[in-house]
Amino acid sequence: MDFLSDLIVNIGLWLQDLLVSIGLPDAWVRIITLAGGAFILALVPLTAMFFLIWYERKIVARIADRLGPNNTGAYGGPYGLFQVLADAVKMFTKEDVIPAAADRWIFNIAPMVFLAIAVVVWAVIPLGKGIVGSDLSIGIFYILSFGSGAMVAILMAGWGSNNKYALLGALRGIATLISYEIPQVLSVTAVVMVAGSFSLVEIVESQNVIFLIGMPLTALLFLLSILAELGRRPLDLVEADSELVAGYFVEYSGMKFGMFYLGEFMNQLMVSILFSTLFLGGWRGPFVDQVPVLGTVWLVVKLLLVMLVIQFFQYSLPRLRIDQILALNWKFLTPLALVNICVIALVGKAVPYDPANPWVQTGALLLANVLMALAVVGILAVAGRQMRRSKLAGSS
Amino acid sequence: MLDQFAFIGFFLIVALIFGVAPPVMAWFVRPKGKANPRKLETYECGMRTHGETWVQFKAQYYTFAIAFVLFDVEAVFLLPWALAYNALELYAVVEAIIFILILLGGLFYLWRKGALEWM
Amino acid sequence: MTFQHVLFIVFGAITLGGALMVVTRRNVFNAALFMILSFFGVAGLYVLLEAPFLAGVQLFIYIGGISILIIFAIMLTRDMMNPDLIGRNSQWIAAAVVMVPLCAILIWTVSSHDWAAAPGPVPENSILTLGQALVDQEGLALPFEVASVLLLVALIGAVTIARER
Repeated sequence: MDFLSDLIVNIGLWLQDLLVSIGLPDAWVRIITLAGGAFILALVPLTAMFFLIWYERKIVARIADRLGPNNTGAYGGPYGLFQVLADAVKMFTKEDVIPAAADRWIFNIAPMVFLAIAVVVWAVIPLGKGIVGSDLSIGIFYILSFGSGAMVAILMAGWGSNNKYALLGALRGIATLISYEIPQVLSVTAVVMVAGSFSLVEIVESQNVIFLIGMPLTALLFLLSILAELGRRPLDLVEADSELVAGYFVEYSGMKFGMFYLGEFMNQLMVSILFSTLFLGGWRGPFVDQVPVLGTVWLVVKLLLVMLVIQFFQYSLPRLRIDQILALNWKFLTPLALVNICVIALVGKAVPYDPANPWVQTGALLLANVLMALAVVGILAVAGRQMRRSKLAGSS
Repeated sequence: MLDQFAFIGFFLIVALIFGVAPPVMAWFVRPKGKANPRKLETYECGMRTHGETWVQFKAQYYTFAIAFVLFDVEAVFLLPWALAYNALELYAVVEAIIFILILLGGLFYLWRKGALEWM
Repeated sequence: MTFQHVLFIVFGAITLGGALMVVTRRNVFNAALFMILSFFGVAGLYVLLEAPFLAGVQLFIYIGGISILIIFAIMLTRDMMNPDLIGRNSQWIAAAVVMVPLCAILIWTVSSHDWAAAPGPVPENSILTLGQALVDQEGLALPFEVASVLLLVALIGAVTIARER
């Protein structure tokens, strides 16, 4: 029972003891453990994909009042779970058409870079109590840095296709992505301030009260900026399905398109886990101290919740225009994020963190956030009234 | 500290392998069709393309990119301060707030001058 | 020849190789991509120097910001895709006369100097120390505020230049 209660960590230790007992020298044991751990950790998102793509399609279908993949015919599988496998096999077997005008090297490397960056950020996320690839001292900053490296892949895809629409889509996509980096980094800065560390393991461990309760405005800022980073409606001009015909990857077919699709989905999984880790407490939950494996279970539950919220945003709101997207970012989210940092900094010093009674600081932060939200709503109402009045005066 | 990065190094290599593996696997499986010129044409909703491919570019892209770089650098300055926040006195917090307010003023300047419009 | 030496040579080769390709490519976009590779090599060198925060900053600002800026600037140039542009001009003899002695002086200076090693091991919590130093009154507080004024000036300058119709 004891072995089962901390299952994943104990399996790791058992494997390590096995290697030592074979008689390998110490350095080799370390190398094999690290390489094996890296391989298994990289497989985690890839295998989680199969379940999560099915999950998304079921939710989308229910939002649209239909059934989604289900057990029709021999290939459906129970509840339609094998539908995703069928899609993957289909993408493997499609012909790979490279347009004659494309720049072959850049065209071919772009999807590989995209997928590699989507996988690489998994190294620092705590997947359970004591399960983490590498507890880097710059944990969250590592993720942000590689996230901004994904823009290079999109630029390569858009340029390498040598197609007006791909290039236009890629440029607008990059303009959106770089704009929404700012509120994302600034809201993470607020979290780092309260938690006191970059390392994701320590951020999770410092959440005696989850940060969503203490800093809801910061969480909202983060959520909106990652919606744009993912290229999801309502901010999905990057791959506007009915306008730019899949945007920057219009010339890709077969497995390369599959890699873009997979990479985008892995990004979605990544930001859901990031939100759960930063704001919902990661693997924390009831009974985790006694049975540490439950930590992973709690993380999966939170992850599914966050993906549900993201998909609600995606499938019930219409798409915004590019100037609306950029105006939303620069005129609303960025000033709000900066003011948010100032206010949290002041409140945090006025009401210092007391480990015996964490609710004091949380309550003060919550109050500050609510006041800021009311102020924002007030400013928006006044500005809206002014705009309406000037429009009426102009037209009459 | 470097052994933390040893894992990252292995992970990067594994990620590169995972990036390269799918097209290689697909190369074995997919049909190697004959290239007829219709298939290799650039896609423009069925019409022929004419003219150069690159688009004459709006200057707004560049303005947004510059604004992004400047706010990026500001965020990078704020990150170590945020890390050291718990150990700082009030005056240090006020210093950083002045830093933020100066740049907030810059953002409002951009706004008033109309550099944030996407024409 | 420890493992760190090997890694240093690898990252140095990536940096220098990328930089060499930047200046010799005809296609400007390829040159920009090699520049990104070169920045990546520099980030690796920062990791070897036990400054992971700077490595992250390198990726975040240089690859995620300045490269994008440079690529946008490339695209603003009108005749960039023209391969007939001459790759070398007629004044290369004068340039070589100046550059070769300069190069020789630099190599001689670097190889004859006694580069002292670092005074001790890297402090454990270097980012925390950096954060405290940035706002310390006897530390970098004034440069910190001046940096924000510099960024403000850059913002105003960008707007002024871009609005010149």
